[in-house]
Amino acid sequence: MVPTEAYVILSMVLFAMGTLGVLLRRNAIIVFMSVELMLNASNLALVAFSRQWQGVDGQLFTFFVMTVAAAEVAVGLALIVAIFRTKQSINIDELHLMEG
Amino acid sequence: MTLEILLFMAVGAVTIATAAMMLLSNNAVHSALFLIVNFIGVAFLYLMLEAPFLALVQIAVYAGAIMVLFLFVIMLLGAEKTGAGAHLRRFRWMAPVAMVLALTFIITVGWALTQGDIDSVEPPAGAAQVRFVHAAPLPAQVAAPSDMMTPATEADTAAEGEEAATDEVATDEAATDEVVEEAPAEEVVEEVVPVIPAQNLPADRVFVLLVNGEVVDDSFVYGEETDFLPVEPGLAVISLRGTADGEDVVTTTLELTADTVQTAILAGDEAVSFYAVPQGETPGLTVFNAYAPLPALALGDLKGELFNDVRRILTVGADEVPFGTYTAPLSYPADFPNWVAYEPGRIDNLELIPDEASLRAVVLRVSEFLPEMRFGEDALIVLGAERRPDNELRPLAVRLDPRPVDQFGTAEAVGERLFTDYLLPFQLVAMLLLASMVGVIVITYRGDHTPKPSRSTRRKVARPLTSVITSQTGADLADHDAPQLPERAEQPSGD
Repeated sequence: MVPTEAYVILSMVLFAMGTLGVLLRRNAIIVFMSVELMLNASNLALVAFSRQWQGVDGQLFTFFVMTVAAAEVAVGLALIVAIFRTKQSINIDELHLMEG
Repeated sequence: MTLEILLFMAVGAVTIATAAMMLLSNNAVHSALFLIVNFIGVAFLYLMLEAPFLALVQIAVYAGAIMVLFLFVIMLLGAEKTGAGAHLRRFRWMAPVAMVLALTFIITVGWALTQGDIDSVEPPAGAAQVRFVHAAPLPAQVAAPSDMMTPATEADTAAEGEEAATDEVATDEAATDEVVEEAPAEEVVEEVVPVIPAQNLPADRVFVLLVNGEVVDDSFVYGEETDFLPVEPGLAVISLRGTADGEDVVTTTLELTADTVQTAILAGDEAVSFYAVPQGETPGLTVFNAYAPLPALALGDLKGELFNDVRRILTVGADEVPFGTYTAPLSYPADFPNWVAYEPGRIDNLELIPDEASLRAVVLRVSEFLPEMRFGEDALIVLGAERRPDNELRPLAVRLDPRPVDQFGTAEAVGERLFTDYLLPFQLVAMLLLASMVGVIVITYRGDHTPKPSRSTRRKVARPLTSVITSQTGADLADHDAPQLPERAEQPSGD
């Protein structure tokens, strides 16, 4: 059996990569994808601990995280579409002026 | 290095590589496609982590729905290449800060992981799943129970009804001896069973069953079983309380091991106690002897010789089952099982119809309960006795279905918890999804478009054809004296 530690380390690496994507990429859609990557990394850790403790609760939390992520993606992409209509760009460096 | 570790390393490498490609790719469509591969890899890891349901949800929701939404938005906006140029970046100090942040995160969590030694932690012992079965044919509550049951009043009983009562007392004593003497010697019984003398039981014979001080069944009557209940492993304190008042409580104990599925059977006549029967690993038919009048029972198969005079019984592997014990899981034939339980060594007297005369020889036809069972199914049959209104005992069997084993991480196990313990969060998440859907519509709704000029068009069409010709040619074709439809009629009848 693969040790839980290996899964958690993999999850940690994926989470760090997601963080880098959020901080370094300028494309708002890529930033959103990086957020999804971070959520997935945390899900992986939850499922790994769920197996370690032989309890379904971790998997249920993963289920809820997935649901919330779906809602977040829908709203976030709608925001991106709305912003793109007004500014003709989704580069987040150009969105700091808070002007409509 | 096992195959599983190799697989983990391969899939882990794929997930990390695709995550890096997603970050580095200049084309947003390529990034989305790499992320899909990453999600599928994570779904594979879920499968390895005993979470098949989540693996499917991951593929359906993440790799399917969410990523399609991403790709759709990218295509819709034509935003594949935006934000690629690094020279446009305003915050040049961001990159080193982000790297330091990520490195700090990895070092901190990695140090905590290596120090924490997660894998040496044992999961906590799960609760034992126990159901309680009432199989003790106590005297009816109306007919003065202390007369029949108390050994001190034996003389009274004998005076009242000689043959039946003495017979019963004798067998009762044999049964009690069996409990005390035979139980420790039998291998399948794990501990000496604490016994409750029947006269100590509450008088009204309908009990309130308490486990560790909590009421689990408020009407625990003969022949009924409770659902499977999680009980803390260890020495469980089981109490029987009368329904009338909460005063007379009889308490006994039952040793329960963790992570087991057990059936606790209340059996006995003169003295009752709970006997724990674990649900076996191997499938088959487990037969528990709760028939108090005889010290032991044997199980045999009559085959097709029910109607012949030949009283030959094929043994089915349970030659002698003492009272309070149970057989190992027996496999039974699919063709024509004709099992009976009988008193060992009394095959000659075997009769198939129970009546008063042959009460001691004949016990029960187990086969009556077999046709309902499918071949290979697991079941527990409790051979007990039923007390008729005249206080006679009559054989009776109760068939109990096993507890379905819920596999860890399956949709059934996840769904059961989701709709019991996590019902409120589930509803809240549903409301969140609804709110986000409304929010998306509000955000993307364009309020500035003009209303469609559909009403005027419709009116034009609705106008009679003659007036259209009049307006184009100038000649008035309409016969104004002819009767007209009312002007407000919206649908012209024939044009």
